[in-house]
Amino acid sequence: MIVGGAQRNNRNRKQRQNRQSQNRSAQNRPKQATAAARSVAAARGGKRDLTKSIAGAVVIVVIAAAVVGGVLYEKHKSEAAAQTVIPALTVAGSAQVPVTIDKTAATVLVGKPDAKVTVNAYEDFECPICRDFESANFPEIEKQLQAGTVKVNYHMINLLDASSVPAGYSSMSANTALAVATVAPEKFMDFHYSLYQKQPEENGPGWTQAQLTSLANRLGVTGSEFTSLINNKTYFKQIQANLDNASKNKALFQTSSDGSTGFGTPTIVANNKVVNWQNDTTWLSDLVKSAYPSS
Amino acid sequence: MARLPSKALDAIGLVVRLGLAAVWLISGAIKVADTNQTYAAVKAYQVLPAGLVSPVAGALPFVELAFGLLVLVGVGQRLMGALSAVLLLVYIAGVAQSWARGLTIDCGCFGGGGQVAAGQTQYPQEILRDTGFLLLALWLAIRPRSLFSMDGWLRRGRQDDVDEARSAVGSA
Repeated sequence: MIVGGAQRNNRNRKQRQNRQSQNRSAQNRPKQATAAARSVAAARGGKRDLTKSIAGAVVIVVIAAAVVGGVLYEKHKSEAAAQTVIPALTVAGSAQVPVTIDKTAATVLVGKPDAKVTVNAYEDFECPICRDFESANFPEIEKQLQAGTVKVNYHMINLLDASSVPAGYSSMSANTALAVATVAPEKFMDFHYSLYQKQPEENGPGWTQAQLTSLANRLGVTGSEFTSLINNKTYFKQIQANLDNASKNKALFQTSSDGSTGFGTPTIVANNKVVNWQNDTTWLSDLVKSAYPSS
Repeated sequence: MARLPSKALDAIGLVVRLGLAAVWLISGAIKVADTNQTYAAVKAYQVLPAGLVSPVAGALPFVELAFGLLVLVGVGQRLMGALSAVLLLVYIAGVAQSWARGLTIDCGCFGGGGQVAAGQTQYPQEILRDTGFLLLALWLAIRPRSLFSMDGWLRRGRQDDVDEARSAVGSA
């Protein structure tokens, strides 16, 4: 049998009373002693309450501290992110490579028009694997772009719009990149490169529009046209349409590690075939070699 | 009715307490280590309004660590057992509503969390596991005494007074 607290209290009290009455009858105890015992017993009850109060107070204080600490930590994290200045980086020699924006399709074509290898890159600025792709392949891509052997069609989409706090970093960053390409095409690669070099954390606070605009400004992209493209969210609709189309295009599907098949980012397509860049590290130079056998 | 000696029950209480403390400390530590993942996990339940996901995801890992710490030292054990049971019931309800609504998420109980492929959900296992933890919490709520607890240490202070009271009565 498990004795509850209340029952235990009752039992103790009864024992105490019995003891006191026995004492009284057997030894004819003086009144003061009984009074003393009573006051000690009262103090004891008080002490018991005090013990409970201490335990309760400790529990409340520790849990309250945890809640406050956690909320403040989360707030600090988003404030720290909001104060981040995205470093403005430039890609050496990229200004010589032609950049053409297709305003209707909301895609950016980088490279000489007569380059024989065409790569289509579907990327999301929020996506960590896209960053991995960029850091692993950008040097080779840029080399081939400048050599005039490869052209890359960038589809910047918003697959991970829900993975930033607040939501929508993917759309916002893609729109800003397209605005840069519209106003100052020669700065597009710098902007694209800078943004992947300083990517916000997935499921964390994304960069704000002010931070993205500041990056563009520091790269030398300013003016009323740029501002209106940002303020009007000019490319948002087409970015979403591009995502919707890509998500339905079976030619772009890949099988992920958990066995599911579908569209994801990054998706890299060369000569109408999805490139397995994670396993095939020489995919681009191989393509260039077969397109330009003599070189 | 056969009854285990109180000392043995206290020892079982200690094991229960350490088990529950380990659950909270481990799950809290994993969540603290990746707060962005915790955010994704909380959001995936699609229960909280957008403005509440961030503070809840921020506080939850620390609350779990606090629970773990308090249960470990054994302070306010009945209260901590009850609070642990309440939080676990909230978790079980969260998983159950995801299951019922046909969401495909990972519970994010010990890290992870967020969307998973349709065939990858493990709702029954997750609920069963949490129910196991719930039993530990209920033990503490119903029989909060255990060996080496801070409650016991506080009570011992009181026990001294009881002895004093007895001797006061005896000697007077």
